[in-house]
Amino acid sequence: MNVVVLGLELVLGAVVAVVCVYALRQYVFTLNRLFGRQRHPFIDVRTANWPDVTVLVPARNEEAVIAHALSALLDADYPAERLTIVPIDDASTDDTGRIIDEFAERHPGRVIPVHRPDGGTGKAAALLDATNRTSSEILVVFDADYTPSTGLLKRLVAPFFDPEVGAVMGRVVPENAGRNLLTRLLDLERAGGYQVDQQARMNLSLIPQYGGTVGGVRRSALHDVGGWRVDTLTEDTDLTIRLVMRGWQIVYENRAECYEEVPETWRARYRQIERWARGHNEVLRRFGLALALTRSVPLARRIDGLLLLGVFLLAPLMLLGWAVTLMLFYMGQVAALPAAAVLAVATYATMGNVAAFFEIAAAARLDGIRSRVRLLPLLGIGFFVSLVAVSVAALPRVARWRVTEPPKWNKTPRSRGPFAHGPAETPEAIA
Amino acid sequence: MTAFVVFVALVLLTVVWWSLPLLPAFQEWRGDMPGPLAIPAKHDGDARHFANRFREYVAIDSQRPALGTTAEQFVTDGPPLRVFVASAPLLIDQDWVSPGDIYAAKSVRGDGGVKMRGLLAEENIVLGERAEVRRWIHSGNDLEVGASSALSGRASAEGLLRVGEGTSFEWLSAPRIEFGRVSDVSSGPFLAGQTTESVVAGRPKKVDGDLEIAADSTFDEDLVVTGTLRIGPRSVVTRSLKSHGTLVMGDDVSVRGSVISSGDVIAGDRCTVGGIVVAERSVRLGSENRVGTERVLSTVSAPRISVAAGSVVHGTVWARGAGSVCGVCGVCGVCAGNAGALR
Repeated sequence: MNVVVLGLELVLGAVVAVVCVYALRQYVFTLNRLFGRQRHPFIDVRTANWPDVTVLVPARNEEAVIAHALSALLDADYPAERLTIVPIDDASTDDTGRIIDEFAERHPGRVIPVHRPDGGTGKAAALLDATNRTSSEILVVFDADYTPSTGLLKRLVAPFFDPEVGAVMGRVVPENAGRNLLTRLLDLERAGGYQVDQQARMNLSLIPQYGGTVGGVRRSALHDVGGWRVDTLTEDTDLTIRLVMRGWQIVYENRAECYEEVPETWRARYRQIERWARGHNEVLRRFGLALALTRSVPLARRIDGLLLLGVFLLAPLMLLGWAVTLMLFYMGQVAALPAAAVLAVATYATMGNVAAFFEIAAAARLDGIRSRVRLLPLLGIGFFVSLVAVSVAALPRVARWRVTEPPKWNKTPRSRGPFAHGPAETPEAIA
Repeated sequence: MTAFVVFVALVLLTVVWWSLPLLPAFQEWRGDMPGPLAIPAKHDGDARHFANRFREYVAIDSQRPALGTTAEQFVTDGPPLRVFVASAPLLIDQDWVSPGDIYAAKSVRGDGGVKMRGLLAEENIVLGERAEVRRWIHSGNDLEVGASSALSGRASAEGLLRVGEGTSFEWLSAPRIEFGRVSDVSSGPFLAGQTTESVVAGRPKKVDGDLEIAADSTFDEDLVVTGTLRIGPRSVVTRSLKSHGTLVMGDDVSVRGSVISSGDVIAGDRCTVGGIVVAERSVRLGSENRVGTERVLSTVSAPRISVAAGSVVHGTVWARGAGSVCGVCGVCGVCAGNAGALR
């Protein structure tokens, strides 16, 4: 019995320690963002010898949104002779291919479509295919539902003048934030993730995460780390870690903002977070140990990378911690815990639980949308859904630790109507 | 029955009590659905943004009072106005303080000590010594600001922008920006015809610790140094440089690509840089430096920038904290500091 209790106490102690580390990390990030020195080294680069850039726009059944993305890109403040837009029709069954071809016809040489009739095997495969058909050193990726602003491309490209930079990430802002409670909660979560988390990582020279869209990659860096991996659910996280391990820097550009559509149904949100969790855990399995042992990467960056990769294991760990606590309670052992452990649990309970809320509140303040902070208590709903989705995604992985299914293009449903997005250029308008 | 009622009442009371802290959240949720966080769709970071908006603003209301040919006449004859328009060439008397933004359809010439908030002239602007611009100034042709002036905010020109010695600045933008008196600025070994790719394929050579490149060397790789990087005089670098610490360029160094530092960039005299110059702490340029070309504009950016007289930058110079133009006299410390760093 004593051995069982000791084991449970050790498990609980380990869980509390891990959760406290994550809570501490969130406090450090938030306080740094609020009071630390902010790093935006390339934000003021306005005039330069801009390099050739290829913008990749992977699209699968995106007839509702693809025209907006292409119109906005054609309107970008970037030398036209240096910019090639490559929409990738990935085995679409709707009108996506036709819309892309119309744009290509009207903008010969500027819009070069890639059709993948046998595609549909994931975004990374589409990117790999298109990358092999282009030659420019800088590749920028936008998802089809993103609407880049005029100055966005220069903001994303400027950091590549630094020869050490392998990838650049911009900020994603939910366009449909006001649609319902879920989108409002996701708006807050995104703000916390980008305005605080990513920028703090940038400030502290840690690992800003390349997010797969509203971002750019240097072709040499991509080649150096083995190119796009098609056997992963989160090619962005995978690429982030590989770049870091090879010594490339990733720059987060907080002012390179771009609208996206966030899921409007809980079902879609559940599937999205489950996919992210599985992908993250998969990258952790692949690179966790190697990253930890890569001595050429500074220690702080290695720790940040491991915490980044392990973030989706936190939910099942917390569930485990709760279960162990209950077991110890009903075994009458809680009072027997050493005082330090009780203190740790109490500290976690009071401070750890609010770390994420603190971060999101800080983000709302930095964005100047303070009234939205009042929604914070309702974030518990979103966290509960995430807890379930992430735990479901993680537990089988823990058991199997290998990929058994080919990646699927698990699209988030679009809610925007065709061409319903303001004055963007449409094929009809061009004609 | 009574017990049941008490139980239900207790449950209801508990729910209400528990919900009280959530009232603001419910109120926010049920209130007006907010729009997305605003992203300026057309904002492209152009230094001329204020001037362009002001030109549109003036054009919309053509009934604005016209300013006479001299500011003195206006100040004595009319009440202070927020915006006024000069249709003829405008002469501004010494130490005149403008009460509002000025639009000049022709040229503007100001004597020493004039102070203004915003000024747009479609032709040349020449301001004397000790001029003070609080927000922005733009010339449709050339802009010249005398010594010991203060340019807060944006200063831009479509042609030449000449900034006098001892002048402080924040954001300068023009195809050619001259600091102090410029005689003959070298174009370096390759700047004159530079049109090649600014971002070149390949993995940079990385050096842990400090590195010193000997004088008169030629370096053909992108280079990243985790410590201090010193480039010997007259060296030629055909790619880009980055230092995690201080990056020091000796006299007559030429760099075809960009110069990036997580700390300071210190350049000696007569250096040429084809790409951008960015530092996270400061940039100090010696005399007769040249950054960018007429055909390929560039950017110099750092929280603090000091440029010795005689240098030329094509494009943008943006000092978020403080920028200054120094004479080659050793008094302000830039030249002396550079000399120390270069030793």
